[in-house]
Amino acid sequence: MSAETVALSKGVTRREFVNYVWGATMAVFMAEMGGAIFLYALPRFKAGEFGGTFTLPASALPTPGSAPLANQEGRFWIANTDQGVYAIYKVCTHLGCLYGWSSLTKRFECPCHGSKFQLNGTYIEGPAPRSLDRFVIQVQDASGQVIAQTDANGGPVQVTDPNATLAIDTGKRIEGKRHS
Amino acid sequence: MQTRIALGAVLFMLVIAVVGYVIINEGLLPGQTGRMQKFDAQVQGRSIESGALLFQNNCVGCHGVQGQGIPGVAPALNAADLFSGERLKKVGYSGKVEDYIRGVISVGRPIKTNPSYPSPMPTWGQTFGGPLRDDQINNLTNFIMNWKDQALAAPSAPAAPAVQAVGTSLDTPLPAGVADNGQKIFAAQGCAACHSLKLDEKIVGPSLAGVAARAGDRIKAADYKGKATTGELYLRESIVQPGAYVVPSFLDGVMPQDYGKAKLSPQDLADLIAFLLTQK
Amino acid sequence: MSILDEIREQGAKKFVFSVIDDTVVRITAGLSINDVRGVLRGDPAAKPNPRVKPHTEGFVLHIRPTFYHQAVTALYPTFRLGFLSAMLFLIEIITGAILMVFYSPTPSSAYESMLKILSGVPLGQFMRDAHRLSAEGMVIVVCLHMLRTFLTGSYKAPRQFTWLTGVVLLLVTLGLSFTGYLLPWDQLAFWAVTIGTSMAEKAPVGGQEANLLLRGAASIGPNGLLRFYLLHVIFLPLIGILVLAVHYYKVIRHGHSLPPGMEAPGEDNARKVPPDKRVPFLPDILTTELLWAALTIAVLVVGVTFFYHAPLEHHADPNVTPLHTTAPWYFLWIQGMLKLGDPTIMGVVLPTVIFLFLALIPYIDFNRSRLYKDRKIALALASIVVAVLVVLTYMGTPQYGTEAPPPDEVGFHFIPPEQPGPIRSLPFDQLVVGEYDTAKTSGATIAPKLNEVLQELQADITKHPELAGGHAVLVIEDWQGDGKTVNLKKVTLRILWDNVAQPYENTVYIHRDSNYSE
Repeated sequence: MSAETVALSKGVTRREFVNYVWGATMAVFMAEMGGAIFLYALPRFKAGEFGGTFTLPASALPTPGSAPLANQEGRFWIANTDQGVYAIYKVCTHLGCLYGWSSLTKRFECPCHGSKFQLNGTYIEGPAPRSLDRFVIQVQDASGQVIAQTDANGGPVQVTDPNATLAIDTGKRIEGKRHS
Repeated sequence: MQTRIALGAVLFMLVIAVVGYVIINEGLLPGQTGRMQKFDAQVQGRSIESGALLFQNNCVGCHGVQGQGIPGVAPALNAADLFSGERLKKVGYSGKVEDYIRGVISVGRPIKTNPSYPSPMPTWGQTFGGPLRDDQINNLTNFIMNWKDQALAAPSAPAAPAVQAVGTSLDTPLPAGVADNGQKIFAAQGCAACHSLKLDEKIVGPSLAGVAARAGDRIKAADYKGKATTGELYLRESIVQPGAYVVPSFLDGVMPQDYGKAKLSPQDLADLIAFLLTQK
Repeated sequence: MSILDEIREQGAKKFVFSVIDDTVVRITAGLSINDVRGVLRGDPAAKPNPRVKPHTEGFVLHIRPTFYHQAVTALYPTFRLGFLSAMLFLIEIITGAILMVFYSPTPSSAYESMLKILSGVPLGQFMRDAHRLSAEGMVIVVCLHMLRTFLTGSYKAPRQFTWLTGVVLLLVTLGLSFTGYLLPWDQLAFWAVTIGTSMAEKAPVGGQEANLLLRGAASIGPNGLLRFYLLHVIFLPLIGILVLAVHYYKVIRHGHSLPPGMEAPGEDNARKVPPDKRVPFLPDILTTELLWAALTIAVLVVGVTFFYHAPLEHHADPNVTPLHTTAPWYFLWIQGMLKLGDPTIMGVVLPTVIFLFLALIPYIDFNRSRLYKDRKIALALASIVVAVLVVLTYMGTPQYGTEAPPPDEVGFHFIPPEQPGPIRSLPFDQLVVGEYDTAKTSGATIAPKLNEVLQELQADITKHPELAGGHAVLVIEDWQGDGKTVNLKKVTLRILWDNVAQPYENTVYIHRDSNYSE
């Protein structure tokens, strides 16, 4: 008889079955420990740490259309445009340099290779492949309820309540749109 | 043999279940109160406890037992204006209250900046030459920050009732003094901030260890310029007229001049003198 | 022939089967699917026996024997302690590497990294407790393994060198445990290691140098911590693994020694195993080993989840030595010896002589017989040594022989510097504000647990004849809160007695969240 026929003809005895079960429990245990080690080693971010959430009171927002507000620890700009508020990641989408705001030309300009972006992060010109990335903003009222949130496309949030607080989650980044 | 195989499988199933139980109770998701969050609260609580002990051993002499401050010695910490941000605005500090507290404890006041507090705060952080480690400074900061809710909730302290000041004269009669009360006044009025009760320990002013015996000799010294005729009167004069006689090698004009004029009532002065008379 | 031609010839089913079969043979280094199934079913091995191939051709099993003598497969005589020691070592390496992801070995960050592991890392406490419990378990198991080997006379010719490498492994185990002890950088770690390294200093030759080499400076600081860390994570494990390899090689080379009763004096039949006494590794021995592993892991996991949590005391303070500072329990016997005489003799010379003697036992033991009846003196000596160790360990405990003044002892019992103690363990709401004098029995039932503690306090004071007429005053005050609920209380303990010159006073603050009772 061929090996294959032999293998397929034998039924599974109780001992063989329990051995398989044991093997399965060992495999599940290894998988569980693997998962546990993954959870263990995955960095977790506290509030106020880059990767975590930063808060900003609505009263601290710059007037619409004016120069953006820099948050060093969070690595983002708060840009208040006529359409609403954006939290823009400070890292240029080209090769990782930190771009700056030019008050002369009223736009973001990257010193490394000259990429230029509008106040709301839209690409103007330069070697960068896409517009600037944005972080998700949650607007919370005085009781902590969420009254507005950045949509999946990274659109602006309206802040109507002067007593609201903005929570910028630097763990959730929305990539800027690629330009043609 | 089959028992062993079955037992092995059962044991691993047990282990899988227990590890699963641990993972579920850890508190992995934001907003949960699992073991991690409870442990964190414990760490915070114990940090505040350590901070409280450090505060008791190092800070109450100037900042008061409950952080209420001592006028002319050190500002109040258990105070609404600190946590509301008012005080920081006044001094022009633009950061967080917690960072301010941590920084001030660590560095102290190496240069005189505030004329209202003539005796500058010592440096505490080891980085700057002080005695405390960073984690101890952290504990102190957490303890002081724990006054925040209390201080902000408390009604603003009523103005202290005006003290019928005893005046600077040496002749007005005083009631009988109680030494125990005098000991409390010694702490509350901030005398301990400048005068140690340990022999030969100089903080700012001379040590008051043994002053009860010494007072009588002082008035007999050749350079004594004051008007006291007994040791007891010498003590009184030193408190209400600090400039009348300055012990050699100490500076004039450092001890506050207003204990007699504003801060002490006749009973207070009597109690204080009675207490000093126990320092033999 | 190309693959497609092969498939056409055999048929798809056969082709897939042959690919899987091929893979299984490669993975198992020689066993086909049928062979594996045969192992799992407990079928008798085919002839020629394919089940030796994983041993002769594979790496993982190449040092494991293909069969054991039946007489060494039961719990007696080995109790599988050697296997357990190696398994605990492996667990330590794994959990240790996991902890290395977050631990930082500098005095300014070590304690903080411990707090982070315990409060901010998922399963951090689990991994740390597992590492600590396995470490303590490993020291015990390794000592039991040594004791068993001595009692069964397995160290005698030709296995003398195996015993020698075993003693080296014992030292490596103790060294690993001791170096790891310092890493949390809390009061327990710092002072235990200060005592330990000070003993090294007392060595008559090279003591100062040894102390300096270990500490990296005059007292334990950043250099010392880093050196202990390196010893713990690379140098000692490397030595351990190398010596373990030699040790196990020698074990297999000579064969597991048989129970003493089965051999005539001077005889060694371990390598001559008659075929009917052979128990194959696959599946029998492997099954038992895996079961033993499952049991160990289960005990560890259950222990660490429900019963055992490694301690973390306050941050190391080089300026304050807590009362009743103690060495790790496996060194208490040395501490006991230190209480008997000169530290150089008791702390250095004697332990060195003891370990040297231990290592040389097989070379100075001229009794060729392993039979228990021929070794009555050796067995009696072993019992005496164990008894002496137990007594010395007890003598090394802090309570023995070192007593602080009675009020300090009472204070230490009720407000220990580094343990919770009865007062901190009270539920927060039982700490009712007030001034309590233990001399006046308060019939108030507002705080029953507090009353119990007060009574215990008075009873403890009465035990000390030097505190005649003694009583305690416990003052509880609200200290800080959020304006509505108090979250910090101040507790002052004062002990007074007749003719007291200076009453004992100790203050402690207790926070609502501190949860000492857990």
